[in-house]
Amino acid sequence: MNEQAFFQNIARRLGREFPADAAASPAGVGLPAEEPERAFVGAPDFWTARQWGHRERLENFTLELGRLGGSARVYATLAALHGGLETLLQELSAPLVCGWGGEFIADMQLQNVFDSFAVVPWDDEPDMAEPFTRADVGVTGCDFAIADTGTVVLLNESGQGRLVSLLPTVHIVVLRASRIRTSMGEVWREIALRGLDPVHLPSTVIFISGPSRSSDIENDLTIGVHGPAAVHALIWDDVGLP
Amino acid sequence: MTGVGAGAKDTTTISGRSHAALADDFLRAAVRFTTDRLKDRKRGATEELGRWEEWRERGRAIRSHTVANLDHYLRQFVANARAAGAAVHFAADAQEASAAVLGIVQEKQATLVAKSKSMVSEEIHINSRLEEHGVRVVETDLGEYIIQLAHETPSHIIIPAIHKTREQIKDLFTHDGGQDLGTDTKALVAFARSKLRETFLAADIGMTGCNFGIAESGSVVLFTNEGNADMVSALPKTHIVVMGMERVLPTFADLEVMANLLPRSATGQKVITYMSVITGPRRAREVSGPTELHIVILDNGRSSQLGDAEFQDVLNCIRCGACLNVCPVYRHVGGHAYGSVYPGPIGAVLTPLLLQGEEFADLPNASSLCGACYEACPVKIPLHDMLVALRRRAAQRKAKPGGVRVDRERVAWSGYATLFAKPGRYRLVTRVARIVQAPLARDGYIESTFGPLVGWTGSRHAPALAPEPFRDRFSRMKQDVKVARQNDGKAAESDPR
Amino acid sequence: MRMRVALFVTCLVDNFYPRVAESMVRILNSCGVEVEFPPEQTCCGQPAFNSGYAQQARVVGRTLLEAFADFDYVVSPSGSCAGMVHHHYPSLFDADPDETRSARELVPKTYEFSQFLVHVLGVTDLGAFFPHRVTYHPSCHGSRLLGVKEEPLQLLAGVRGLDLVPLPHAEDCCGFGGAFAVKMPEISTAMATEKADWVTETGAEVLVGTDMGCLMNIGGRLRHMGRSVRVMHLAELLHEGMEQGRG
Repeated sequence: MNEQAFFQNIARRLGREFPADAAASPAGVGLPAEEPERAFVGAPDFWTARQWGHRERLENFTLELGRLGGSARVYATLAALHGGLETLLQELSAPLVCGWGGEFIADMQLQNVFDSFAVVPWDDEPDMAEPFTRADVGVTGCDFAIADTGTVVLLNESGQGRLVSLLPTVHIVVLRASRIRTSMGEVWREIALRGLDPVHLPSTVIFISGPSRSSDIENDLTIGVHGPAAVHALIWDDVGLP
Repeated sequence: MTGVGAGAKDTTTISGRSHAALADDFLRAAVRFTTDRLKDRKRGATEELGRWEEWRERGRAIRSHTVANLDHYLRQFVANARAAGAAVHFAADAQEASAAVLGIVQEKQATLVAKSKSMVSEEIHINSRLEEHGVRVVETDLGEYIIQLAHETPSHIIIPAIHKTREQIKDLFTHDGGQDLGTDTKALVAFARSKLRETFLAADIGMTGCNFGIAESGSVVLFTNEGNADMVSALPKTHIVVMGMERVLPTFADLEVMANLLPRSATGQKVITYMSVITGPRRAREVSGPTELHIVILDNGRSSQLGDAEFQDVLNCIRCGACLNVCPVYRHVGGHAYGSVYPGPIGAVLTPLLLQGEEFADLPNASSLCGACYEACPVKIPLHDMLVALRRRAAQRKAKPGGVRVDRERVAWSGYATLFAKPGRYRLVTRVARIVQAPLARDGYIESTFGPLVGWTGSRHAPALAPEPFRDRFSRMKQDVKVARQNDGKAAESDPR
Repeated sequence: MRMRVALFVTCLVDNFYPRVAESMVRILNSCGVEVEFPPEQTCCGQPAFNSGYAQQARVVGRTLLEAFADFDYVVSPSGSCAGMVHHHYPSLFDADPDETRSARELVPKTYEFSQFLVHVLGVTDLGAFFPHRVTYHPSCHGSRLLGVKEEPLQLLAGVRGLDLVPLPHAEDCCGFGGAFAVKMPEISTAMATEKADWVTETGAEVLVGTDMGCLMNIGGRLRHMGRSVRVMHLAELLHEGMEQGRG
């Protein structure tokens, strides 16, 4: 159906005329000029007004991820985190481990660990489906985490290939405690600060809360249907005691 | 009116279609088990969140505001999606939508489409359309995959295979994979995982629905627990989104409200496992994701609800399925009896509004108007009132010239109105009724197995009219009015213990 | 000035269950309230309204507007009929300004019986004694549309000797729904059977409720299935308990 007619129909139904210039534009309808008035936007005030301290966010994130069937461990130093990651990778003894590449490795100083476990990093080559489709473990960072729900938030960027968190059986997230926010709303406010235009907002923002699950067979909860069956968060407490 | 036992092979009405379901004890037990569980979990999840009524009211307000300004927000969504590089298509009906999808598929010379669960794609029957043109379509949601192997349609919005047992699923998977898998959930799921993994990697096109479109950024938001929408939107080179035109939300702040309401209402989960927010195709700097994103926006009867005070809010629906889980009628007849894509109370309202076929005309009658659906709805759609409004419209349609010639129901209610409009006539008719019933009444009950109300009396004893109505008795009652007393528990003086 | 209280008897109770109305009058008398019965009332119009025949419902509903115009309070043994007034009268009578006014005036003064006792009279203890095992079915319209949830339970809690056993899946509809029971008899019967089974499972001697429509349905099904549970309206139970409490 013709775009203009589609919009004109909607507007007429609602008792309005669709602007003639927008209706005539060959490039499509374009952005509307004025915002409709709203009494309020988003979550109720009691929700957005909550102010959790660092410790509360860290503890709640850990608790919630555990409830979802994931696990979270907190390390006081980056070196301790590296030790934890090595232990975990040893336990998993996975034939093929892949990971985010680029800045992530430098930021979390993971080069040595990656080298000793032959982790295949995904830097800036596009479409590296292979070998990532075969990987047993994927190591990623995250841009944000959410204390309310034990969620990690991953942006699609160079060095942050989507498949690393998606295809392997085990997903390990390495993050700084300072990335943990209280609620989803807080995360969106920060993303919006950078800009919601296509230059600043990546093509995909993924919110992952625990391992993949389904209850489609006789309502029997099963883990690891398509995405990872295990999610481990290794948190470096880069803030320390409040 | 259909009597007991009638309509065994009648598939044109819900009472006919529900006949088999009502005789299927397993089906009823399965649906009861799952809906009870979902209901209990929902209760737990909403109590844990707290102030649920405030959340619901916020959800309603956001959805109502958006729908009332859909011309604005949809326009904003479309302009922003385009700016992010998406191609946007508009479809007035199912036919146009499936033609748009088919056009993209053919242009890409695609032979395999991987799909993530989407009610709107069921609505446009895209799978059969693509298959007619030699394109293989694979459903990747576990429940949808089961249903596809069984050549059936979903019977629940959230749990499509709610009516299937693990035995039946084992047989379907065994047939598909050529080896006996047993009935263990883990083994069945492992089979689906490996089988569908091949599909994700081989598919030329990924197709999804759209839980929410964000106007301020032109983003498409997808909710799944399995992660299949993520796979479908990340791996194939082309991603096609089919979205109902009312799926829009103004801002990401509003999305936070829906992210709290939807999973809790649907499955009693505090949070959905995967929420993917997709804004345009892959950027030049990004290393993964599709290079083309198409968004097909579907009307298909939705715009007819706009501007209609009685029904506009039905577009508030966020497809959580909570109304199905609490509905006693749904629980007894299952999803297929509703005869269309959308079952349960929302289906009984939405289907006749969107499709207007004769076979859906009696759907609004399939409700006792108990209001459980309204109470469960996270965006407060007054479904019970809408059901009555639909009945009212049906009655008005029949009253018009060219409608049904003799409408027995209208005759009956007009008779009722004439007799009950005046107390004198009302007394007279009830007096006559008392005389008529005399030979049928026994012990204060009527146990009739024939007559116009046999649907009632065939399975229930009906009370007989009292020998004397209250209004006659009242005039003789002497009222011994006690002095108003305080309710302070002093009445215990007369406790005989 | 003395408050004027009208009994909104409902057509069902008037013709089939006069004892329920009588019990209401006796209970209200004992609380110091004299009850009047304006005979102009017939039916609230709900059966026609819910079937889609609003005009027919309006014609019948006018009898209530006339009957109750001069009263301070209107008390009904049915949450469903009281709910009809609350939720639909203002829009049902919106064509005529006079009727709109009377409909709007009627709404705030219309109460379901237990609501009236608890909220207007402030009574929860009637000094009743009823030494039986009892289960309670909350009717959908009363509890969901009118919000009468706690009141009947508060009144039952005030009855000595009464053993209240919870009804499993109490909030599920019994399958009555007026014309629904006649139009969709198979589905309605399946719902009624399920309800009757839960009632039986409680081992209660008495099923109590606040709406005779639902109780007629469940009771009729129980009797048809040969189950010997006694079915009572809350007013009947309280009144009988008050008699016993006095005795």
